[in-house]
Amino acid sequence: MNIFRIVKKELDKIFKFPRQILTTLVLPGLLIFLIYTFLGVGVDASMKEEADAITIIHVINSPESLDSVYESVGTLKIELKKSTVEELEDLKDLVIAKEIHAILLYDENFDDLIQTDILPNVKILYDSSATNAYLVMERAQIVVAMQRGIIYEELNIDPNIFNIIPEKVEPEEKGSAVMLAMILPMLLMSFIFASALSTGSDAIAGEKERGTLATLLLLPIKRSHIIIGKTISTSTITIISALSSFLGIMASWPFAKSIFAVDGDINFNYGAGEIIGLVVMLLLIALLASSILLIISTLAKNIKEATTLAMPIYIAAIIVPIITMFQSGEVSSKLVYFIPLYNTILGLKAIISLNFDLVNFLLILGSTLVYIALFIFILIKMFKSEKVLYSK
Amino acid sequence: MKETITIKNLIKTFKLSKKQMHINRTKDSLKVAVNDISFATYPGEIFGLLGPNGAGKTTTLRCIATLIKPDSGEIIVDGHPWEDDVQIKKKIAFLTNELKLEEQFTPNYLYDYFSSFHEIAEDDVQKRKEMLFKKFGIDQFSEVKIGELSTGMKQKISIVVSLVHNPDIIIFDEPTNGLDVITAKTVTDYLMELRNEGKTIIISTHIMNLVEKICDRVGIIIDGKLSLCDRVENVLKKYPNTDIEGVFFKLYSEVEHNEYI
Repeated sequence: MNIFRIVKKELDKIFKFPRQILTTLVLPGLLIFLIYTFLGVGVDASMKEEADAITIIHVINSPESLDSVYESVGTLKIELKKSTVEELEDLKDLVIAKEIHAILLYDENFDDLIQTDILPNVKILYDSSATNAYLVMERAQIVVAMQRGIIYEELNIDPNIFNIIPEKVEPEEKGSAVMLAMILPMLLMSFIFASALSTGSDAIAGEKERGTLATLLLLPIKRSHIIIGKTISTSTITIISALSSFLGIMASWPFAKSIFAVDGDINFNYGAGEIIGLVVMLLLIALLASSILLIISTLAKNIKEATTLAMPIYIAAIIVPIITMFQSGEVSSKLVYFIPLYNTILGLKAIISLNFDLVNFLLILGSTLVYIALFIFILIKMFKSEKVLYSK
Repeated sequence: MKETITIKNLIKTFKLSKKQMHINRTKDSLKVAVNDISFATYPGEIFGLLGPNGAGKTTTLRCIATLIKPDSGEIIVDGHPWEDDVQIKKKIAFLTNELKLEEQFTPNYLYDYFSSFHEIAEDDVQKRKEMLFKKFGIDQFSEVKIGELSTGMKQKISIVVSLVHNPDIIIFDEPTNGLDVITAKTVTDYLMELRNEGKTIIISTHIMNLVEKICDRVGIIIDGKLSLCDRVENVLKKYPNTDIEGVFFKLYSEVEHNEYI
C-alpha cells in the first residue's frame, strides 16, 4: 500500500499538471513524428525530382552492338549521345558541372574483342558526390544490361565476357566535402541549439527561479547592457560547448564511418576563405540561437518552462537541416537567403561543399545580423515589462 | 534641510490575473498597492515604514529603487528623477529578502564583482571589503561558496555587497527578517552607525518595537495609504499611554479594509 502511495504521488506529478503531460508524454512523440515525417517528405520529394529528370550519358567508341539501344532507352528517361575519345576530358568536366551525368567509355573494337579470348572493358564514369549518383549508375547499368541482351540474342555469345568498371570523375576532396555538407550542418545546428537551449534557459529564467534577477537589475547600468552582456556570454558558452561536441564527432570519425555513411578518408582541403566563412557562420548561428532562446527564457518563469517553450525552436533547428540534406546546392530565388535559420544552413552547406559564393554569404550575413538586432531589441523591450520580469 | 528622497503622490497599481482575482476574492482586476503616498527623508535619519503584510511598503521601496515604475506621482532621489535610474542606483543600497546572490560564487568574488560596477579605486575596494567582512564576521567565510553558508550568513553577505559603494541612501526591506537575535543586533547597530555618519536610511518592517528602538521618524502604511508620518517621539506624545504597536492598532481599526487576504 505504501509503495502504491509513492507510485501514485510520482504519477500525479505528471498527470495532474497539463504542462507536465505536454512535456513528458506528448512532446517526445511529437518530436519523433515531426523529424521522421519531414525526413521522409524531404527524401521522397528529392527522389521523385531526380527520377523524373532525363539522364544524359555520352558514349565513347560506341560499338555496333549498342546501336539499337539508343532509341529504346528513350522511354526509360535515358538519353545516349555518341562522342569521340578526344572529347573525354571535356566530357568529364561536364559531368562534374552536372551538365551531363555519365560517360560510357568502351574499349576500341569492342565488338571484335568480345569474340576473342580478351576481356574488353566498359568504364562508367560518373560523379559519385552528386546527390543522384546512385540513379545515374543504375541507369548506366541498364544501358549495358540491354546491350548484353542484344549480344546474347544476336551473336549468341556469353554476355559475361566483358568487364564493367565504375570510375569516379570528381576530385577526391569534393566527394568527401559533399558528404560532409550533408551531415555537418545538421550536427552543428543541433549542437548549437542544444547548448543555447540549456545556457539560454539558465541565463534569465534560471536567474528568476533563483531570485538573482532583481539583484542584477539593481546594478547601476542600463538594462540594454545587461541584455547585450547576457547575449554575448550565452553565445560564447554556446559556441564553446558546440565546438566541444563537434570535436568529439571529428575525433570519432575514423571509428564511426559506417554511422556517417562515408567511405574513404575525409580530406579537409579548405582554404582560408572557407574557414573564415565557417567561423563567421557559426558565430552568427550561435548569436541567433542565443537571442531567440533568451527571449523565451525571459518569457518563462523558471528553467523548466523555458525548456518546454524552447522545444519547438529546437525541433525546427534539427528539422530544417534534415530537409536541406537532400537538396542540391541550387536555390530557386535569392529570397531564400533572407529566411532566418534556413539561410544560415544554406550558407554552412555551401561553404562545407566548397561552393562558397561571396554575394550569397553577404546576403546571409546581413539579414541574420538584422534578425539578431531585432531579437535583442525585443529583449530590451521585454526587460522593461514588469509583468514579464516579475511574473510568478 | 536637504531632502534626500522626495516622494509626491505616488500611485502604483497591479493588474491581477484571473487566478489572483479569485484568490483575493475580488472582481476588480486592478489592485492599488500604493495609493497617493507622499513623504520625504533627510540626511542622518532612520525612517521606518511600518505596516502589515501587503500594505504597500515593499512596493513603495521597489519604486524608489527603480525596480518598478510608478503609475503616477514623483520620486526624486538625491536630486535625480525616477527616470534617471542608473544615477539613482549609483546613490542607493537596496536590499530585500527577495534579492538573492548566485550560490556558486564566494563572498570575496561577489564583493569584487559588485564593486567593479562603481568607480572605486582597487585599494579602497580591498580596504572597505576587509572592514565590512570583519564587522559582519564574514572574513573567515570569504572563500566559501554562498550556497554552503547559513541563512543568516547569506543575509549578512547580501547586506555587505549592497554597501560596496558606501552609498548615502540605504533602503532595507525587512532588514532583520529571518535573522537570529545576535545577527539582527549587528545589523541594527550598523544601521545606527551609518545614521550617525549622516546617511539616510529607510527600513520597512512589521516589527513594531524595532521602530521605537532605532527609527527617528515613522510612516505607517495601511492598505496602500500613509496613515501617519511623524517623528517617533511626536507620535508617542500624540498618543499618550501607549507604544507604537498601540498606535498602529488604533489607526488600523479606524480604516475600512478591503477584503484582501
